Amino acid sequence: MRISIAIIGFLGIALAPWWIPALCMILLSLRWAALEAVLIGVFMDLIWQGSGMLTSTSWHTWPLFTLFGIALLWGFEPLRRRFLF
Amino acid sequence: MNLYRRTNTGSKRRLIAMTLLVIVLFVFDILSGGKVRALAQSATANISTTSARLFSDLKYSGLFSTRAHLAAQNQALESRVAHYQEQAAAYQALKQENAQLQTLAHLAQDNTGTTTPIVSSPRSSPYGTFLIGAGSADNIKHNALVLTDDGFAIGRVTDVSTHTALVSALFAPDSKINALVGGTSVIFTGQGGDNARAQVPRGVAVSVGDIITSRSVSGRPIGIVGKVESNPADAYSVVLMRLPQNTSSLRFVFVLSGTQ
Repeated sequence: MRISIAIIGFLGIALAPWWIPALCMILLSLRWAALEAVLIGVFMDLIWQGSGMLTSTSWHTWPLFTLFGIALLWGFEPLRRRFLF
Repeated sequence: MNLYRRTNTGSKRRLIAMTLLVIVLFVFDILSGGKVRALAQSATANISTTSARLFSDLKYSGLFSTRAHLAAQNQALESRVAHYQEQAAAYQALKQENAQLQTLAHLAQDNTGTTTPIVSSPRSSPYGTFLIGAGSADNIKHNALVLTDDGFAIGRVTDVSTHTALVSALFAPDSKINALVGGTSVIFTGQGGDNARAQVPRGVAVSVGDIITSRSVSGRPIGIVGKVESNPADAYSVVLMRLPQNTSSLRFVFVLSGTQ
């Protein structure tokens, strides 16, 4: 299951609308402390966000998917600990 | 309690390690001059091109034809007709491609640059960017202007690798561009999806279909007025700009050789 979601997420970076990898990141992070979820976010930003675009005033120039991945990783940790351990 | 603490510390360490790995990846990419980025973009371009080819082959192979369609074909023993239909469809696709390339050839007569295919779907990117199948090996320069076949400026090259380049759309979400509409200079804000909006003083005569140009792209057209929202109580009208054709329907673009 984890591998399937991760594969869909990684392929989705290139082939699917952006919300598919985002959904895969959420699904992965809900159940596992998944490095894949963060990596999907990192590659979304590395591939689709041009270099040198970061400006503090425009939120869309921030690496949103990476931040989203890290937030999911840390944010869902109490939930995972509560229900899965 | 002890086991809980150990598990808790262990999982925290793992999370910290993952976060550090992400930071290391970004730092490595920056220090290596965007090598990780370039590799990832090339891989994405290859995956997109291969999947588009596979999809096209499957489409014309008839593998996903409906049962009714196949039954009709069987009844009339139309295997040969199907073959000709397939050829005709391929011909139509080539004809469309040829027409677009011909228009681009006209564009190339007036400007120096490169005609290049779009190798990614614009809807994949949340940042209003897309990949093109030409890079530094094809003389594509950073910040070069990208035009549609009818000469509308749609973006600028922001990242260049050997055989691919990343283009940022002029109307990427939240991006600002200074433009001329109805003889007045206004600032359009990108909305994503080839759309932008601006506030124009109500006295300025603007009508649907007017061409909008911008000095930041050497006075080239960047779109047309798609809609004008006007309220008698307001001092400003809202002008919605759009491109005459959707970028997701484009297969080729023209990249100017300079950075004008």
